[in-house]
Amino acid sequence: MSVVEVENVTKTFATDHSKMLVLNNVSFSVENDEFVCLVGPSGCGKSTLLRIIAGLEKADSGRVLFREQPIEKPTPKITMVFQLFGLLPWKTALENIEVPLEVLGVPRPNRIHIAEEYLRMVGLEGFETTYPHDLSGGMKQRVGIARALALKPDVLLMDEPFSSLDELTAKTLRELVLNIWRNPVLPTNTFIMVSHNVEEAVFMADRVIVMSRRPGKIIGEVRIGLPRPRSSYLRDKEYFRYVDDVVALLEKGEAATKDQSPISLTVDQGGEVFKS
Amino acid sequence: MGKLGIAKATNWLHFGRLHWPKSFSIVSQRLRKYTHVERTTAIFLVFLSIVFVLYIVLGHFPTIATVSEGLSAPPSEDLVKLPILVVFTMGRLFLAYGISIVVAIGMGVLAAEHKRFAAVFFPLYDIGQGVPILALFPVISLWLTGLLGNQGLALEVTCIIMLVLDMIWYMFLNIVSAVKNIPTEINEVGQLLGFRGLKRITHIVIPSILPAIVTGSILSWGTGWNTIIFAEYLPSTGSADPVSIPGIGSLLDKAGYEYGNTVVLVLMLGVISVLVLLMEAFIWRRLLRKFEKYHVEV
Repeated sequence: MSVVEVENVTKTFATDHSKMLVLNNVSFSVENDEFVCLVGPSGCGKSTLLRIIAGLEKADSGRVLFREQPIEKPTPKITMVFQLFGLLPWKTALENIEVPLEVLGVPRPNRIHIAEEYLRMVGLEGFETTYPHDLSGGMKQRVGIARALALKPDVLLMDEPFSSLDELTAKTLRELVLNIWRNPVLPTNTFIMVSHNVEEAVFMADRVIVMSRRPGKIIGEVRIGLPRPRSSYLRDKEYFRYVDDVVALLEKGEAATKDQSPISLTVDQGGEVFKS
Repeated sequence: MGKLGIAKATNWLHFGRLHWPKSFSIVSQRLRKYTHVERTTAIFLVFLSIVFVLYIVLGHFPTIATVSEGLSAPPSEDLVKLPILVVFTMGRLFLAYGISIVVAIGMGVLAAEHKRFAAVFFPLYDIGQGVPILALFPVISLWLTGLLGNQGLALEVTCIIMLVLDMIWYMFLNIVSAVKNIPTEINEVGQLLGFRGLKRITHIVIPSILPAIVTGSILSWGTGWNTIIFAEYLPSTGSADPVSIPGIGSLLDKAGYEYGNTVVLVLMLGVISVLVLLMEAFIWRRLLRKFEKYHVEV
């Protein structure tokens, strides 16, 4: 059964003079227990798509279904991890995890217990009273992940979660996320990640969905058949073949947008042409 | 200091290894940016002010006799009441500040988030900021005397109203721009995690604008000091026997205009400076340092 279904989603942003088509008729679905990665050049609307799934933005046409119910506003069943961590600087690591639970109405002793448990899970025991300002980037993202998971969502959305971290930290956190995804005890088992790092996508995902430059639409997808854990395959020919497949699709998308360039031009009333 | 020739001179005198005091090298660094004319003017002005200060200090240095004479002349008997007067003045300032901060946060958040409120509050801000508040003193004071009957009470209330009208705008403007500048990621996080209504205000909005509230408060207190000294200066115009409210300002007025006692006047100015510096050191600076961490790193 599909957990998330994106059906014919189209989204335009209005700028001062023109309308800019960001998502053009995007459809795909994500199964239960699946790890899906959306890959595309920057500005292809993949983050916007993620925000529509999260309920933060509304699609102009088309809809997103979560367990067959349309998503209209954010729900605790779908949470998100942000590129710049999205931590509240005025709350300690523990409070950052605890406050969303307070909003949900979890009683205080329970929510502190939950927050401590999740902080321990991401390896930040002993940093309960530390403010984000005093945490490193990797630690902040750990708190971000713990906060998202503490709400016990069904779906975890990740918006380029590792792109503002150094490679070494990113590698450790990728393993952490994969361990969380594999963990049968946790209720969160459907992951949708946005990335522009093809190697990362192939390493982590079951399925890589490739999007074209704006207006973003789906060019194709690559099912990654590498057995897990994949860290031993990182030097493998097979791994690079998958990477090449994804890159080939990306290049196909680039070529296609160049051919159809008139489509990505919008004309405003004054007759001025904006290349979008 | 190329053009001034100091560098050349030090080289020539083999002072190369000698370091000029840091402040001196900072000044020379800065002076390098200016033209010859600007530099000469600056140096001339500095020279002039040094001469002036020397003249004042050497020519008019108060002797112990003048000080003790001043301290025994008329308004000095009021100096015993100084702690109470300070409490009165500070009390008024704190009360007015309390009112203005609450109102400014309310107005600022509404104006930043709803266009309708902005359409009302911004013209109000233009008027409030533009009209010299002290000009309103007689109007408000006369109206309140008629309304309340009691002249002293009317003056107190007038003083507070004027202070609020004066202090509110810096904070209002700072708060509006701070609310508008809350990073989108923070707003999205709030939305995603379900913060709504009062929870959103207390957990998301207020903490993110705290640094701006502090800077706004510092400016407000600055103008507040200005206004309260004047408000306490000014006697009520309503009756034949003018009264003014007790405070540092009215004592200043007494020392200055009524008795011409410079020693008490200078003493009072010293007291005010100490109060301002204490607030700066113990409140604003500490808060600023604390809220530095609240900036969202983007």
